[in-house]
Amino acid sequence: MKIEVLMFFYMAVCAAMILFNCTVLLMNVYRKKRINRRDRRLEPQIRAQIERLERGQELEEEHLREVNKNFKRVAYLKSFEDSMDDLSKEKPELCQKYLKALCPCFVNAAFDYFKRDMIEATYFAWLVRKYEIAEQENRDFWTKEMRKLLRMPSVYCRENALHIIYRMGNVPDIVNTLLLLDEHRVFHHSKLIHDGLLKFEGDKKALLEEIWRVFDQFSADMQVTLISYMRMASAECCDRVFEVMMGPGQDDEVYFACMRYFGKFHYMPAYPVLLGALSDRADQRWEKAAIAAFALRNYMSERTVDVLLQALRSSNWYIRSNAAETLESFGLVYEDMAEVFEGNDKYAKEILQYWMDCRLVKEGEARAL
Amino acid sequence: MMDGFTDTLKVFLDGVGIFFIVYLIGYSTFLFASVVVGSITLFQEERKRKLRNILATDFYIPISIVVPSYNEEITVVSTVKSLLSLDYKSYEIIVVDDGSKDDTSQKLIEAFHMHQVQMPIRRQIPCQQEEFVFLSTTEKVRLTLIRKRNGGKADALNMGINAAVYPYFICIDADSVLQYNSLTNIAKPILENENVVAVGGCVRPCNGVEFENCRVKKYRLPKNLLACMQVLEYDRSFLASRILFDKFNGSMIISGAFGLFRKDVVISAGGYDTRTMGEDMELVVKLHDYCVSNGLPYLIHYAVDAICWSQVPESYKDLCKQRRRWHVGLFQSLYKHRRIIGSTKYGALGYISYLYFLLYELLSPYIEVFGVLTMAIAYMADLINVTFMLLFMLIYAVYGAVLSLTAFFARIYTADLHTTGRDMGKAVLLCLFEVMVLRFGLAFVRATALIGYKKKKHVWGRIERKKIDLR
Repeated sequence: MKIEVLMFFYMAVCAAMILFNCTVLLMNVYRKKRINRRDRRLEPQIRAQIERLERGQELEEEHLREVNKNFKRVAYLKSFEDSMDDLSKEKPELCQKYLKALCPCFVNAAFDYFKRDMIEATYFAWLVRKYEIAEQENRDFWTKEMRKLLRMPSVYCRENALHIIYRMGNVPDIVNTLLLLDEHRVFHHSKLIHDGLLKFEGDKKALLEEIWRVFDQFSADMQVTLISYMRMASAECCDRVFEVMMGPGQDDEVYFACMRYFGKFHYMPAYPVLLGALSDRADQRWEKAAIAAFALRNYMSERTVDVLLQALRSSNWYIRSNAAETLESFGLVYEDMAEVFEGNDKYAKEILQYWMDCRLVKEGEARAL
Repeated sequence: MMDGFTDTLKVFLDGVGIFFIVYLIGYSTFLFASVVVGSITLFQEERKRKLRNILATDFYIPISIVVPSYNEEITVVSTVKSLLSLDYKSYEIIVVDDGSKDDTSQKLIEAFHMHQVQMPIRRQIPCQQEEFVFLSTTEKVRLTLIRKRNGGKADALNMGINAAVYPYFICIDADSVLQYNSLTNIAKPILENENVVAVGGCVRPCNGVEFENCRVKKYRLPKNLLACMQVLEYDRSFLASRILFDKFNGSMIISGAFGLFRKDVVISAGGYDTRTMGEDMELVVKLHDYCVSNGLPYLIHYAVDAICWSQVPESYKDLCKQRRRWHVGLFQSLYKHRRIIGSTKYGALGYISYLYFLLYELLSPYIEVFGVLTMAIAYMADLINVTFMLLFMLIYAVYGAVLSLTAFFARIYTADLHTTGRDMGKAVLLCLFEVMVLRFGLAFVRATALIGYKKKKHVWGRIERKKIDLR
């Protein structure tokens, strides 16, 4: 009897799964039709309002009420986005004006969406970012709400929130947001932060000044991210980066980030430090020497070449490789490095020969093209 | 005496019956849970995509793509061409020719105008010596060809890791094709969590699929029925168990056809084991072991939307070779890391994942064959209700088939692949055949895989490859 019960149970599960598959299939078909129907209904409504704006009239109150009510439904919001995408291609400026008029609707909907599940909150933040709603009005409100979103576990949500804050262009708000992110130990990949800051279109000088003003309040990880950002953004920070680098008991990763900065931007006071890092055999931190070997490509001189040639004899692979790559980048020829090619150090010869081969390959390929 | 024998036989068969009921309840419950969780996850991912839960900014973690090749002259050039078309900025391609007897290296050198260089390779993971290295810098990304003495796939991968420049590497088979967004999707988990050390991609059979610019132009089930059944099998496996194990960091396998790894952790863990045939599974289990033993916070993820299309065998002989190899690899990996079993130190990996692979993957062919034998004995002793038994097997087969179909359709809906009514009908008919016939055939192959193990444990067997049409 128990076996029969088991068999009936499995039959019921099979029937339920078959029903599930059929339901999903039908729902898919129905949903696509419904979305098309909704899009076909909504677009003319929005178009009519845009035409009113074109004639110098205000939006209809009824339309505003309807949008205000329906914005809380994700399906409506999706149709709204689809319709706006089509209309923006025809009348971009009027669409902007239309969106500006809908700002209060976005604010009302925000109260609802940011309490909902992460996927919907992220979508709403995405739309606010896409339509630049936060830049139009209610900036304080949006800054406050976006900062709350920074604690969400979704990287997409946090990224949308950060970009909205960057776009609003208020430098103290941006830096305070980064401090908040750092303070709450929320993991947000440094590459995303660094790339996001690079997209900031406002007063970059003011942003850098503000970052420097509170630099010591950031954790070491965030300091590394910010120095990496500066390496891509500005050559004006040499003095301050040097000060950070030479600070007593400086964190290793911050130190390395500073060295990379001077690998991009030439700064004479850093030169002896880089040379020292490469020649100091007593320092256990091989990363320091390896990064210095790479950074010295910005400091070509006889002394640099001598130190790099010595570094080719290092027992550390990365130091040898970076030194060889830098020597190759100086455009030196065989005769300039004869002591290595004719010496006894097989590893030094090998690595240098490889980089010279790469140069020959590139020259050969360039000629062929 | 006969009565005594019959009574003993009855007791024995009753015991076997109870064992099988418990075993099948366990398996069907797991299968059901994994298909439900898998389907929910796929629908969630689809919802995320539709509601723009994406990273709108360019983000690129530099990746080295390692392509181990052995006698792949037919497919290797098209594979590299497809890799060069990927929608990703920062990567390099390293093809490791593992001492091919055909013109694998020559085809690449000619196709991509490569030049020989004296590249020193730091062998942080021991591997066979390289014979020559060729380089091309005119392509979209740096392309390196390393020809080495034959040492097996694991050895070739280790060479690729040693030569890789970037902090993350991907291993991909030479007969596989990535979609334009595969790299982006497989790298995403790394941006989401700093502790991710490996990410598995989703492998799908590419037989019958047409590609254009690394995009699926036309999706059809393969004409070959065997390949078609493997489509259903892959969907069930990738959708179901891998997504479920991912939920509790219990993934024990990342397909060798497509997986992303953090180079420094793999090197510290010792790289791929050249003594096993299931080097892909062995590495993942080794990573778990290494990270747990060293107290490192880590995650091994599965990216459902990072797709790799790979050729599946179209002849039963080739399929048997493949499955034999997989089974030997599975045995080697589980045996090597047997201390994980039941260990709470490894969390759910020890008392869920490992036990699943042990009972329902490694031992299942023996259990199934044993089940068939006991049914035959019971039939001969007239101790079995044949009608009831057939009904039970039919219901169980329908159950398995329905779950396979659920996995298949879940993937079709959520990946926005368009399939014809004919293909749907084909899937419905074949899934029953796959569960009732092919599965038993492969169970027998797997059950005999370990015979002659010591002599044949490193024999891969040659599988026929076809050229992949990429436009």
